[in-house]
Amino acid sequence: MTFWLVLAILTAAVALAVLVPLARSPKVHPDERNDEAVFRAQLEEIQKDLERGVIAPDMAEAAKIEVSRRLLAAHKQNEGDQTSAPSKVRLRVVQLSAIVLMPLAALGLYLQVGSPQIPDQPRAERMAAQSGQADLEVLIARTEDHLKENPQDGQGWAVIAPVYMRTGQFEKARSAYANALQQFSDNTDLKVGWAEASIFANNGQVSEEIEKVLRRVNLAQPEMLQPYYYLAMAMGQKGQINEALGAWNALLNVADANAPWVEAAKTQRDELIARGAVASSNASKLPASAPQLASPTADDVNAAAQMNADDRKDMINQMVLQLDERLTEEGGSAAEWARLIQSRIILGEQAEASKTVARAKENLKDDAVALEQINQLAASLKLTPAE
Amino acid sequence: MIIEIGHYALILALVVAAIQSVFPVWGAVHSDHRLMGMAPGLAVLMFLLTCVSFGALTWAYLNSDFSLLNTYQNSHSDKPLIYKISGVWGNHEGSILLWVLILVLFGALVAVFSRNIPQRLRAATLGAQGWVSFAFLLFVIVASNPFTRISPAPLQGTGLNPMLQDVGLAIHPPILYIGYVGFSIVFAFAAAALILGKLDAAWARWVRPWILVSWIFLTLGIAMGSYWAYYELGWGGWWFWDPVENASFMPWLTGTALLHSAIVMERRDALKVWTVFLALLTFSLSLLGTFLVRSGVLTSVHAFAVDPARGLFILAILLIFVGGSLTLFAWRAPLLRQGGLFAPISREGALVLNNLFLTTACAAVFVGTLYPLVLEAFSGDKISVGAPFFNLTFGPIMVPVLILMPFGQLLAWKRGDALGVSQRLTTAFILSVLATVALVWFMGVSTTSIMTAFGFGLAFWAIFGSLWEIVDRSQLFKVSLGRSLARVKGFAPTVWSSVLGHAGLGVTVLGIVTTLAFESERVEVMRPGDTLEQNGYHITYEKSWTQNGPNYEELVSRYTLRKGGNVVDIMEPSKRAYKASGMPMSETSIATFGFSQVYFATGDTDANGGIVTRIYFKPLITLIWIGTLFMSLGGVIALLDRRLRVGAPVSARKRKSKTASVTAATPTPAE
Repeated sequence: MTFWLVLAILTAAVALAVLVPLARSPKVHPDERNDEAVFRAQLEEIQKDLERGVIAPDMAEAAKIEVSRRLLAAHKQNEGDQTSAPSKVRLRVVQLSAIVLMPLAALGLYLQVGSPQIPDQPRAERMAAQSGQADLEVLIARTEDHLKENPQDGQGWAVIAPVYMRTGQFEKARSAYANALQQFSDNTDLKVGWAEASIFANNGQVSEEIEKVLRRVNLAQPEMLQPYYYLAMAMGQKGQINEALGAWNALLNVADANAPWVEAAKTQRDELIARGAVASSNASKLPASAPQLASPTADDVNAAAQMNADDRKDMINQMVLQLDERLTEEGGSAAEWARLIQSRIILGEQAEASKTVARAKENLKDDAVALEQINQLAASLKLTPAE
Repeated sequence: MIIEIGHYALILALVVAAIQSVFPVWGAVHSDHRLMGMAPGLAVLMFLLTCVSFGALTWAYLNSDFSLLNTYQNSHSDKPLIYKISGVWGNHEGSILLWVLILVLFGALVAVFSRNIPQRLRAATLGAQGWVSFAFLLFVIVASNPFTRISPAPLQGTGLNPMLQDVGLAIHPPILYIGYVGFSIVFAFAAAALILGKLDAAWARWVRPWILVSWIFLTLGIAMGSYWAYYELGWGGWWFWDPVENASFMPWLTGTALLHSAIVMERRDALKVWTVFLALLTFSLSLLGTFLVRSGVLTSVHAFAVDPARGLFILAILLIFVGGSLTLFAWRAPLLRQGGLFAPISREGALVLNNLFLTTACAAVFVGTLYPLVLEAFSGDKISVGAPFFNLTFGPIMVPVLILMPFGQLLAWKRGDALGVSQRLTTAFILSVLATVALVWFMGVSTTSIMTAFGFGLAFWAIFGSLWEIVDRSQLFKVSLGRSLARVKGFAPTVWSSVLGHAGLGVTVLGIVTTLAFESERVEVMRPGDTLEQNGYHITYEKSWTQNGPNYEELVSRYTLRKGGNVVDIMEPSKRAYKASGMPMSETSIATFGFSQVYFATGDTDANGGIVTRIYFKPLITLIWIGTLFMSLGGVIALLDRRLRVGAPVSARKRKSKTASVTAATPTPAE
């Protein structure tokens, strides 16, 4: 409403600018004969200069004649002006166009090319919007802005990295994992995430550096499955096809047949067989009690990349919910609780985050160090635990 | 809401321009004071509306509102504030809007500051200004609308061309545009004079401040563009005869001619038809420049608009205005009374000669700029007309201009004495020869060619010859020192402006000649610790490191510049990669010694830790731009001349206008 009011005011101002001069007296105000005034002033100046002796009398005389000639001409011209009678028709044409034609033309053209229905959308305002209205893009951008100002916030990086992974932005995911590792240098999950992102960003090539990291994770946590998967890939890429085949077989032996990555693993195994690999007996053994492979695989990520924004948001919500459920039922480390709290913040769920803080404290009440970490995080996020 | 209000204000401005184009002119022709009276109000209103519109666009940039296609394509929330602002006109749509803003600003200025202009002339002038405003507002709204929305809006923009992310871009286009667009007012005055069939010496006086303002800004704009290209592009060149540069240089040449012919018209009531013709020509060339830069017919750093529809639209504007104004000229010019007569050897004669040379030089630039385009259009062959063509055509034409310039300053109006003036200039001539010999000796006799020495001579002649006007007019050495000083004090400001303008040209020429003849360049792959020697300097490459800027990452290299064992400067050129676009840009590092410069730019690194280093030695190069500053200062002084002030006629002291009438009426010696 205000918008149309402003438009109306602007239009009215223009109409007035046309109509007001029309209402003036048609007689020429003497002030408007300014060329005559200029010449008269010049004559006076010459006279003054002559009196002061600045110019020679003959020069002054010549100048006076020149200026007088111009003055006469200007006067004659203005006389002519006055005799021309103002025309009524002209007046009506102008008035009509100011009142009718002009506003119609402006409004008509505006409705053609303008978009009155689209509101202003300054970035800061969109970023501050309530979670309900914010879309995934806003959530990501909000986190990015937060991280730009607090690049030391390893938790934040750890939260956004999988999101990048799932939206197919592998290079960003790689550097997010790397940033998170700056703070949590011993976190194997983050290391594996980094390795995975690096491989995807690298068009599926497992570089030596990545391999080294994966081997270290494998040593530290032999029950994790992803390192086996990617190390098998690396061997295949290096041409150690027999060893690679062994590794795949070992992995597939322990795998849950319904796990999403199994198909991809089988394809790679079959490729190796097609290249002439022979299974050797001394294939590495996997721990029998390896848990379910949790991290997304290539197909998973590709699928995510093709999703639309809503689906992706659902997917992320789903991830957060799963984490929430697991922590509620089984408990978890301070780092895991912190990740959940961060996720809530990024999703814009302040209240939920506060509740999570309370639950985390309850859950970790026996661990003074962990409790302190949660308290610090809550303070840095300005969260007050829900009572 | 703000954006849409801006959009509506722009459309309203178009409607106002339509009214402005018709009614005041109608009123002027019929002497209807009511219709004429609406012109100033409308001009101011049109300016305010365009301000609202421009303000809305700027608001969108400042607040990173990417619901505008324009901000989405050209901005980024990470950009530093100044580049968010300059980003408004760092793109096609925004720059055309800035063009229009300046156009209507000039219209408003005429409306406010020209109360002493006869009402009919004022109304017709504002009306003609309305035609130009209408054409360009229509162009903005129909073919280059910066207010096109996108929905849903993206959250991040795609950034600004990093080459244009520079302080130079922030100020260069507005200044150049003021120059360009200012000539539209001169055009409007000329068109009004033709419509009314009335053209007198007063007209020249009323139009001259507008010529001066436009000329000053155009001079500064061109100089700044040249300096910008010099330090930003990293090639060490300061003028490329690039069509975009030529596009602003052509109106400058005819504008300079116009500036001089307007003096003749004001003082002697002569050269009227020619002056009007030059006014039309200069504006036509400004339009041509706009067409060349904005249509995308050229592929150069400035041509960031590639859209044939836009090109055709501007071409249509160009043809209508050039064709229309020439038709008007052919039809109405015979009505204009011819003015005062003069002998060939006289101040007027010298100014006519200056005009002929300047317009011929402009024709040479015109041919060199347009011939390749026309040839490409008709035969598909792509040829490039470069510096050799311009050096052979433009250069020789400017030689007589420089030689004759000091004579023109000393010649009397109406009937001059060439021999007498030559005698009066003897000392200036001797001084120039001495200065030339000294400079040749300093630069090294064996390395100086005859042509270079001649170039030095021309430059010094222009400088000393121009300055001699002060000596001559003050009658220094002829009368007592005290009286001479008293005379200097009593100089009309125009004396200073002609002295400064002409000497400034000499200074620029001196810089150009020295740089062309003695510049040297060294390109080497350097490794950390390497030292090379050139022009008496020892240059050591210390190290390189990477650092982060607000929206780019740069590889900075440090060099130590030593002379005779002493460190004279640390140079840190860098190579930037902008995050949003990934485009590389080189940032040069320039050390200034006196008027000379040493210029560093880095290129790619090689596998062995070496870096391509380009080092240029540019003797006296800064004189090129210092000279243009003098020229502009001359223009400013002329503008401050009370005669030219367009304020209230009665209150202002009219001493200067008297002088004008006196010189117009009586042939006096040049004093």
